[in-house]
Amino acid sequence: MYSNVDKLLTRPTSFGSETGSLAVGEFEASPEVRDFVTSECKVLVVGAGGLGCEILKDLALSGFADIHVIDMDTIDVSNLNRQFLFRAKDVGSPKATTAAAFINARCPKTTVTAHVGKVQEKDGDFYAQFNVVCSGLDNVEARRWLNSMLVSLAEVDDDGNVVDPSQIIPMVDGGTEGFRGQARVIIPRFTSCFECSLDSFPPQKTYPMCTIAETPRLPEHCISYAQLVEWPKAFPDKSVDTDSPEDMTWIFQVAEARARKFDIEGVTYMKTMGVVKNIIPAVASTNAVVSAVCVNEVFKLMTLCSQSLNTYMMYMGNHGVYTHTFEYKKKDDCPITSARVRTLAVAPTMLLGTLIESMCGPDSDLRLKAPSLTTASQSLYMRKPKALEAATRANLGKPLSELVADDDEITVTDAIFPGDVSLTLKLSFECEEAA
Amino acid sequence: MATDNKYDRQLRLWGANGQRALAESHVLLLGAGPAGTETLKNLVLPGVGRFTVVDGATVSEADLGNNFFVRPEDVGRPRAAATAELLKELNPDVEGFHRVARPEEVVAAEPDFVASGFSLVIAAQLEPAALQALGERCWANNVPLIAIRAYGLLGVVRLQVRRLEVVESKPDNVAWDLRLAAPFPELEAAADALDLDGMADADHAHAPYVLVLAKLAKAWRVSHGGASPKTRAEKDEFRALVAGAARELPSKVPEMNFEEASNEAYRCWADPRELPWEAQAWIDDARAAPDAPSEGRRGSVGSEAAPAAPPSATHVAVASVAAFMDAHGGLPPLSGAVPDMHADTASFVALQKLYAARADADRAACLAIFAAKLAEATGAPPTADEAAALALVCKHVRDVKLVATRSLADELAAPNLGEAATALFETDDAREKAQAPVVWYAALRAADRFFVKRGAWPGADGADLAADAAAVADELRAFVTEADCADAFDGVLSEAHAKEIARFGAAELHAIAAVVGGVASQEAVKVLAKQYTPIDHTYLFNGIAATAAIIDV
Repeated sequence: MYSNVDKLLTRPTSFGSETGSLAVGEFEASPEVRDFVTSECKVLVVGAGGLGCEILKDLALSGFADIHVIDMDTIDVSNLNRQFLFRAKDVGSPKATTAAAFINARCPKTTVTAHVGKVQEKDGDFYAQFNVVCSGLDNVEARRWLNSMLVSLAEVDDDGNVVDPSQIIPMVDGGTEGFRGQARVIIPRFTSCFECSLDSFPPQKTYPMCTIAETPRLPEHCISYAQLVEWPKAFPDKSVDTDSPEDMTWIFQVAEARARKFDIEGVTYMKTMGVVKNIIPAVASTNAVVSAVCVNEVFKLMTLCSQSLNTYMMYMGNHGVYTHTFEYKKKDDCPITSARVRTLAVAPTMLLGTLIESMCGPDSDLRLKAPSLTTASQSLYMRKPKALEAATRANLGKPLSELVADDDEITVTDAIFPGDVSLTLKLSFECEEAA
Repeated sequence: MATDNKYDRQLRLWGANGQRALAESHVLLLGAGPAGTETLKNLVLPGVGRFTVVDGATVSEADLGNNFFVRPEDVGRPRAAATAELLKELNPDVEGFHRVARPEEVVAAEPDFVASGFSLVIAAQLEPAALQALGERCWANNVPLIAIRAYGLLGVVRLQVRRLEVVESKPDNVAWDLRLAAPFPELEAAADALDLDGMADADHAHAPYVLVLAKLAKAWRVSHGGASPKTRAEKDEFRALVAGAARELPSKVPEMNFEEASNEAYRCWADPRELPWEAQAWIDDARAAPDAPSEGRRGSVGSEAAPAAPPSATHVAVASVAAFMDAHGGLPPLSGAVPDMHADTASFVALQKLYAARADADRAACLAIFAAKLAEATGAPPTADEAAALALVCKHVRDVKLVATRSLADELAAPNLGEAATALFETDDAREKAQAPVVWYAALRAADRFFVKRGAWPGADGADLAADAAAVADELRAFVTEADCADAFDGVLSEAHAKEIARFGAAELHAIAAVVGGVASQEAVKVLAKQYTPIDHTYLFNGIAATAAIIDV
């Protein structure tokens, strides 16, 4: 059945993994390599959406027989233009189970096991059972969490060397937006990781509140006003359900009225959805390309039958097709992969609460959500448990000089990373003027 | 579920126009292997109107291992029927047909089958001689062709199009036509009415930069004998003048509209008569031949002339724009679109209306020319569709382009390999050179030569791998020598490439077929919707090192 795959795996080559610039092992052509794919190798697919559907199909038709898929979403009608494992009758069903059932029916040699839920709900033991992870996610947060989980599974000794190579689980990650996309290979501890490239995923664009409120010019401004100003006034106890046609129609109508008042053209229901839900255009073709590039890398990493993508491939399909493959370098102060401790220059008078705020939000370096901070000797501020939060809350209003000494190292944990992943930061006091 | 439109996510790219064009298309697929079915899958999902699958194989065990559109119970059935059925099941909006016949035989026996109403032909894994013949028929009939191939770890998408009229090319950076270097009277009047000195601070900080620039540029011209800033020193002086016109507000907040004006000052000397070269080329072509659209950019050696067809409404629209420009000192019709800028609502809306009104007037003038031209040719006034075509051209006049690739016949007879091989000189790294896509292009041509001579692919089941590799190496040397660029490949091509081609044994790996299917369907959408910019002309994906390139040989 896999006679095409067999040619690649049972015939020798001059271009095995060992000959590439990202060498992960030495290829030995044999039927055993094929057997590893079809009966031993365990693959985790993260996301069962536009990329995930393609990844599942591509893996099954590359011979992989033991595949797990995890996704928290249910199927929406707007998925059907590309998520080809779903039909109109499946709208509302969980993506993971529906996708798994389709592949299991179409490809009888493959067994896909579905997990409905968030990646953050699974622990290290769950992820450690896989040989490789292939992700097709639509958000940065889940990618960051997954990336740091996989990096943390490859334990290192005091010199930063991996203790047991079998703990290294490669992550092949894809992403798309309209006609553009990227595929990358992350070998934990060896290549750059997702966190190293966080800067290349800019936070979502928003409109300044003063423009929205005082000088609206575009339909987008009117829609944002309806969402951010009018809705909370009308429904103080209810947030917008972006999947509810009633809620979206309300915002559309309010935005339309405001646009009429200001003589602004172009507020439509479709545009309202685009702005409120931050909809990113998505087509079957880009998802197909990026997923297949990812699965080709999974196949090569698991069989060593050819070289590997080192490490990042960018794809742009609007005008001609522009593809660029390059090595995304490790960031030397990456909080996840680098052994180097990041130094933060702070004024000794800075309040702990201000320091914490500066680590959060889309414009900060670390883009954390809700960090907890400790030193070697004491808890500075802890979110949990409740009693500890209450006990450390008073510290938020204290200047750093009262809590830590110059050059002290602090440990930061945050919901954006798995529980046992922490960042170490060194606080270096600077005089007021310089700060 | 806040929408019931399953096409929502793609409409945000190609809009209702693109979707309509897609729904009105009929795509012919020759060859229902994985590269072919994956391409068609990505066209059925977004709602292509109709497809026809032509394939002569019966479903085998091997198909189950690399083709998603066959099931175990289909083994033994015609592959055309099984795949068409499962592809159609993806989207109830789409009509699907199939025909059980070897594509190579259809091409030989019914050369003009491809011209019987198909909007696009996709040829998957066609044998070299048949592909050449098909290419010639598609070229002669001006039917776009996408030839695709998945060969071991290599994937190829080849587009052949003789003449494609693209109006909505959707460039990444919109070239706003604001007419600041050649203001129309209404713009000048609005700028004159702007009393920068007498305004209250709040109004001053919200005056649209376009009006600020129009006013200051006029003042400059008045004091410089009618000329706009020309030299670098004059341009710097003008920018300083713009920046200096900003007020220092009590709040100390800098005026953002004046910052914008300073940044956009170059618009005061950017000549709106200068169009992107692709747009200018089509306009010149339409002016010279309003009734007989020319062929693509490159003619074909010894190929037939395209059948005489009446010019499309779009071509006549471009010719009408050319006549409009001749009558208006070279200025094209105004598109009317204005970018967002720091401004109060009333000033901005007034500015938008000013530009829209002028664009309406220009379009009406173009429509009069257009109607006269059509009346001359057909004796009838423009239909609603024709008028819409004219309006679209007026709106996107800077984005229009004629797309044409080299013909397959020319590529096969005289590949411009030397030009493509310059990519080899961009790196000194031997490992990178060895994996340059152009090297694998040459290797695939060698495989084709092998097939033409022996009727089988190198490394096919049961073949002597070493002997086949040696024969491929001979073909590779002969190919680069005949293409007159053995020097460029010297030291790059090695026996290893020939061995790898033999190792592949023409295997169709699903992942490679899916890459090919993705790129091919994307290019198909561009061609069918006449939007964006299609490739020129070959995309080669090297799955060994995950590198890829456009190769124009």
